[in-house]
Amino acid sequence: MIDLLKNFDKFVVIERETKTKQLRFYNSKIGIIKEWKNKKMELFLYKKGKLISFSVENPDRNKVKKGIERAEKIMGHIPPMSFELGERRKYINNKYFDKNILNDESLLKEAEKAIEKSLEYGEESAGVLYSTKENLKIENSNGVCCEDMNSMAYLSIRTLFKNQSFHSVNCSRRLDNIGKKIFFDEFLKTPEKKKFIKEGRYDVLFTPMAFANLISYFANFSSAFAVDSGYSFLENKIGTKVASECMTIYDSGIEKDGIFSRKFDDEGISTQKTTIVENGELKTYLHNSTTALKHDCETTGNAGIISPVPWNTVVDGGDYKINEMIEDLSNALLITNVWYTRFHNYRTGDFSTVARDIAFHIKNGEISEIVKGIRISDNMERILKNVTFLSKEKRQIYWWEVENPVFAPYAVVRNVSITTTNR
Amino acid sequence: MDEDLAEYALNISKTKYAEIRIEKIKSNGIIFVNGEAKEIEFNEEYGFSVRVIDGGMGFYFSNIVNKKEIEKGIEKAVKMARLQKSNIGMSEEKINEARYEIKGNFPEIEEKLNFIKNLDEFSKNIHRSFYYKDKISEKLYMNTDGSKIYSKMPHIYTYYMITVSNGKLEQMHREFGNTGGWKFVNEWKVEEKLQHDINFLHDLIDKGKKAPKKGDVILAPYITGLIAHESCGHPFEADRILGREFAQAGKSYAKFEMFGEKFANECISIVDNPSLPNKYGFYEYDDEGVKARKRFLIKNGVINEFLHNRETAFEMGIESNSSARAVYGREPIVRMANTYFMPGDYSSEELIEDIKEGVYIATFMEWNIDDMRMNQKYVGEEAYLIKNGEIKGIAYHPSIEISTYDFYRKVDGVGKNLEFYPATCGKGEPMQGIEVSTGGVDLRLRDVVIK
Repeated sequence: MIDLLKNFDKFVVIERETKTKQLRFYNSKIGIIKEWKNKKMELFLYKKGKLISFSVENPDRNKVKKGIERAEKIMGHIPPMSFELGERRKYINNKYFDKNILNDESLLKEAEKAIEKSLEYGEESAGVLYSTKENLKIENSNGVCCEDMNSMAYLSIRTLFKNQSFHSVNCSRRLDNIGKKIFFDEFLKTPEKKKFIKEGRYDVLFTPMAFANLISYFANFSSAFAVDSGYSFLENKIGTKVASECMTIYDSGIEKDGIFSRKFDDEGISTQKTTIVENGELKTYLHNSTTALKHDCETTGNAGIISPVPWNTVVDGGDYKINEMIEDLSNALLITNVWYTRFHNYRTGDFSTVARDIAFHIKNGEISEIVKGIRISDNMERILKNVTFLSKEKRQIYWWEVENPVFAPYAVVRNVSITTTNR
Repeated sequence: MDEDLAEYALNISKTKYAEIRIEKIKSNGIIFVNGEAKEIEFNEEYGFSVRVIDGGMGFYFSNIVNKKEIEKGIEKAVKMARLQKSNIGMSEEKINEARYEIKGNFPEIEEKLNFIKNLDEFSKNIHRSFYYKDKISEKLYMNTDGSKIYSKMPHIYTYYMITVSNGKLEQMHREFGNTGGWKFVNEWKVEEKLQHDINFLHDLIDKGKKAPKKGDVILAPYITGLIAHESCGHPFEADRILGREFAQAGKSYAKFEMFGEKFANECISIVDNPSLPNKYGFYEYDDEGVKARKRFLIKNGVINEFLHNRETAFEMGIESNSSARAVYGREPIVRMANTYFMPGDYSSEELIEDIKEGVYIATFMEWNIDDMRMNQKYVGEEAYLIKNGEIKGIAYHPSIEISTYDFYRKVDGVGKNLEFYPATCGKGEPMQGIEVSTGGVDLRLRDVVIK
């Protein structure tokens, strides 16, 4: 169908075919099994300085032709827009691909294994096992015609025990043992005594689940489009410290088991490993070719044609073991998950987020009591600058509240502002 | 709209229960940032989803709409259902056959662009971004009980975010939306609100003062609508109470046995009503073919009704109250529509004149709530200090963090001015963002800690 596009100065055509399955369970039983089949084409067409995009489902020549006619008509009435297409085709493809990722029996077996394991810790579990297989093809006016195949699965399971809850996820490009390998922290079994803490500043030990939530927001803030649109505290901060010395964060489209790994971005540019923060210093935003031109730099292979997007965000681990981190804390909190991270001001990074699932008070190097009803009310940059220790161990986190995957370690952050509901 | 295909699907299903939804959505979008168009797009979606019950529940979606694919869809959904053993079922409901259409058209691109360009030009001295979207959704729903509903509805939506910098940086965003066509653009008065917000943010930077640490608080409709949605609507969703959403949206402080219990002060009544014409969450029949009706969630402080679809109603041995909604390609789950506080008798001035010291919070940026819907926080953006019954200056980011129980027991005055705001409610996995509206009135809370 590319012959239909010869009148355009530039174009990108993205064809995506996906098959997805999901087992959803609650009250420790499978409640519904679902399957989706999607065929979609997105077209970005540029002529005489004007860009228009449209999508067609289950595309055929006639539907695409009609869309192009409409696009050409609209182009006569729209203002000029910037659109650049870069060239880089040294594709790296060492990511896993699991051709059996949609196997019904395996999915059922893995979900059942995860439920069984979660019930060793608690009395009720709920969650999803989700798997998808994607065929992706991109053609553009620079002569790129590239194809990719991706597989990914994630298991998200929440366990209820004695009126407390904890949440675990396991993400991989392969289905094998995804349920069996679901991980529960040992400290979940520890104290039963509850405590209400006072508002104030506390050192906080974040588990990978909780830390990944904050880092996923950071990754979105590092998109040049977010910066240019007023949705990021990182404006004018390239070359400055935005995190503590121990923090190195990179985006990677080439992680072997990264569930968002891709050979190329939406322009057809090869993906890569891009260091966003090195030893606390902001090195770059994430770019497509259009934002790169505006910022006078090279694309980082993160298109999104309109807005650059993170692939897999990786936080470099430190040297510590979780037990060593707990032992080092004298009056601190252990937060195992957060949700509803909401910003009062995207440009300053002021936000709050609610501690969801079990949280603990750590006293003199030991987990002492369960704490309830707490919220982090602080500033994203201040939190990143106060990261003190990172664990060697990392986990890939992706779930309902972490919408782009993060390889996150356990992290100790000093002096986090904690607020609570007044009682 | 492919009625033959839908009938064929139900005929070949041979299951205890089956339903099919065939949907077509045509949408248009514009993004403008700081004087530049960033995206102008149009999209068309067309697909079908089937849901069956046979042993358990199976669901299949495809955006290839033909007889062969429908056969495959039914076969797969049945196979998936039969892999399970559960007691799932659908409540007995009246069989409905209906067609409804909300009128509303959209102009050509020039007029839409002019609307956004004018707003952009109007606010050119500050950092700003605008988003416009319109869509027309057609849906045919049929089930093996015999219900058949066709609907056609337009939706229109606009959003802006502005940043004012003058030593400090302040941000404000607003949404506008209706079920209907272009005519609503004139009703929204976006330019007026934009001017108001720009002026306010400048004043906030120049004159904002710290709020008292404790006092009486009046929350304006913009916030109380959200509170009705978050701390009453969501926890009253039966699927949450039954644990179906435990791993995602969470559970609820509400329990079915709380029916008839006094939960709030007598002045509080909260309603969820899909059948309000042109409100953003409007519908006449839900996504299980049940005729939409008003739901009185809290009546004079007493818990009166929970939100049910046919699946949760079956589990509880009752009838659905038409709360099943599905976005394109997703399963129907329990959702709100237009959720609001019933108005009281007070004007804003009457509520204020009785306050010795406190704040009036008109808008917010940051808010959140825990997954049991018990621990909530709202940080004011546009807010004012109240002293001896009068507004006395601007309050700088007053914040309240309060339990749901405390909130509903501290309200002693309810305003008479009901205002609705559009919102996109998120629930389900994969996420289903759906149009709702939140309706609020001024509420006065006594003796609140202000941060």
